[in-house]
Amino acid sequence: MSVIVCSFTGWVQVRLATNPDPTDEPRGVSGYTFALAGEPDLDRMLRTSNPVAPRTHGQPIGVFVRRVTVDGVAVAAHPLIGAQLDLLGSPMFESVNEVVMEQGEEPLEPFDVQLVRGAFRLQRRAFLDPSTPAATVYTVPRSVLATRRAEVALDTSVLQQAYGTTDPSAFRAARLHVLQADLRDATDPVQRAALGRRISELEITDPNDHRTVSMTFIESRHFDLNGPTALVDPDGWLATLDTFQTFACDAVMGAWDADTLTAYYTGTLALPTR
Amino acid sequence: MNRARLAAVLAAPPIPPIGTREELIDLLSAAAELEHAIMCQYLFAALSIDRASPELSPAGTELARTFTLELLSIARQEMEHLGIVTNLLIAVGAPSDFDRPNLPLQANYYALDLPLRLVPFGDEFLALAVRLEESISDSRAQRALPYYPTIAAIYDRLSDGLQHLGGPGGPLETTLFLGANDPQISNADFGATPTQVWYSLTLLPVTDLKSALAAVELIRVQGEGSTASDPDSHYAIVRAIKAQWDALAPAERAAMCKPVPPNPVTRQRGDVDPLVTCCVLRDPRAVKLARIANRAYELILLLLARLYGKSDATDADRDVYRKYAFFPLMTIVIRPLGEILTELPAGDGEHCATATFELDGPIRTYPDRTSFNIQLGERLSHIAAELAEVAAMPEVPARVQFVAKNAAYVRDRVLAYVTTGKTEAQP
Repeated sequence: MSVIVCSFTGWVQVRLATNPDPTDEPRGVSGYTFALAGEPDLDRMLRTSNPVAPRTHGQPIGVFVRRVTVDGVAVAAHPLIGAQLDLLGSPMFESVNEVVMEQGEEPLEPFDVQLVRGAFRLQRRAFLDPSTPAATVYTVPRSVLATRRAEVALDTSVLQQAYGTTDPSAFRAARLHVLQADLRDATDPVQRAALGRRISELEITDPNDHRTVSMTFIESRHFDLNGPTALVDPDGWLATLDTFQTFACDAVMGAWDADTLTAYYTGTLALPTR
Repeated sequence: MNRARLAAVLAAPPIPPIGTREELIDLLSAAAELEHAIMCQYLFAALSIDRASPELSPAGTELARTFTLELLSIARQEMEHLGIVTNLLIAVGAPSDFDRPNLPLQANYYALDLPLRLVPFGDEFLALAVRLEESISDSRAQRALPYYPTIAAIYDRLSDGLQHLGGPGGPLETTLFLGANDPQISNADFGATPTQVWYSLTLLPVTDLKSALAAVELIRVQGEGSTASDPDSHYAIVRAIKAQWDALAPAERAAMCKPVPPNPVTRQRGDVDPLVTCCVLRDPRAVKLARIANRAYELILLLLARLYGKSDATDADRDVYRKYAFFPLMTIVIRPLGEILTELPAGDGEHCATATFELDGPIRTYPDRTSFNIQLGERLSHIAAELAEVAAMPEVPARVQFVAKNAAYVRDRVLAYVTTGKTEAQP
């Protein structure tokens, strides 16, 4: 038996309201995230592709397999390198103003992974309770939910990996500078209103403020993909995939940029083979 | 204030300086109730702003959001002031005071020359807000008045009283801070550093004269500003809002205001100013939702009352009270209900409904943890059941279901704690 480990990195978009706004606040008021003029309402979804109203100066959204190892040995020409990783089913961070779990530690649900490259497609979900596929964060026992609790750390390692900086304040100051220049050139009233809001948020420079501190939040989650496996593998890349075992997926989110509602997403997906 | 009342107030002797602990406690209680009432005034006004009117331009929509954001931020700082005054009360050996009379309040209730009523956002509210936050131009002269011309004047008197009682050679120099070691709420309770601004809040603990004076000073500075030009003070913020508001075209102003009635109540009340007209909500859905919101608000106050001062609450109890008072109840019940209410009619053919911030009984401090915890479960059960009932009513905004679902989940988590006596973190 071998284990193929796909390491992925990329950028995700999360258009969610933040405390102390209610979780279902559509535009953002008292938190530090907002739907801007011309943008649709916030929807809480984590998007790994097809971003909604992507903002200027944000990173391109997309998560891809960058490296593959087989039993710990890198395979430079593995066909899964370059595969796109998507999270299906509109995953959301389910803290719900700490009704369900403390912010940052909350479960991401559903967690339904898809890898696609050309005609190849692998998809499998981590059900909260595989015996009750319709179970939600509201219906499973708290002990089950606890297995989905994220580990949270505050440091600049992911920020460094994502942006090559360890200084969130400097990052925000540079963005402010760019947006101020954009505003000088902007004539469209919708664009000006949107830029005005972004600028006013970036002008909040307190290093202890959530806007800055959250750039160093690192949320690590572990999932056991335990649902039925859907595999379309015309070239037999995963011909010996063992679908009777769960697939372990470890995912880390960090470098959260509240200005563009994007974050760096990295992790591994382990695929056991027979 | 009408002319006869004004004459009576002006004929009264000046308010004497604080000379005893009980006078200090009385004025601290008045300050707590005032901060509490003012917080409701700001919340009420913020909830009356229409942030989503299609009549607003992009810039107007952004301005409506900014006004709402700033009023909510001030409301949170009024909550902080209530918390700091409560720390002061505890430190000088008094219990907390989370009670307050219902609004609109009779003029001069606290010997304060300011109207305390629920006014929707607009000209009248902004004029009121400027008065609430304004500074004293001549504090020495105003200490001799028979009434408090500003909120700041109350804090001047408190500062004087603390220094007189607890300062060097004062009558209570060594005993003023009897409750210095009793439980208070500070930034540390939320994992923040002592001076870190936590959701616009800096909850200063009070243990001695120096920290007491610093606490009073923080409230003063946040209200009126450290200098006349301090842009972060409430006074500067509300003046800036007023200037922006005054510059708007009439159509944009109209689009920014929901037709919220002033001084709404869910029933005719005998405990409010009879000279002020109240709007009694009539729509049955609105009445029910407003009462649920009031019950949730009351429950937050009961939880806060259990958090401050000596009690038999265990550390686990306090964790639970803190966990549910600050986030879920405020953010996922009260604010959403306040917003949902404005989507319903008041039932008078003219206005929309709105939150009423009524309290139907005094905010009691429960001495026994077992009894309180059982009642906490009961109260949450009632709130969840009533929300589910409203959610099932015809023509109720779908958002009520989301609130109901989350209230039920909070109920279940609290009941699990009440039943087992263990938090999830405990083995």
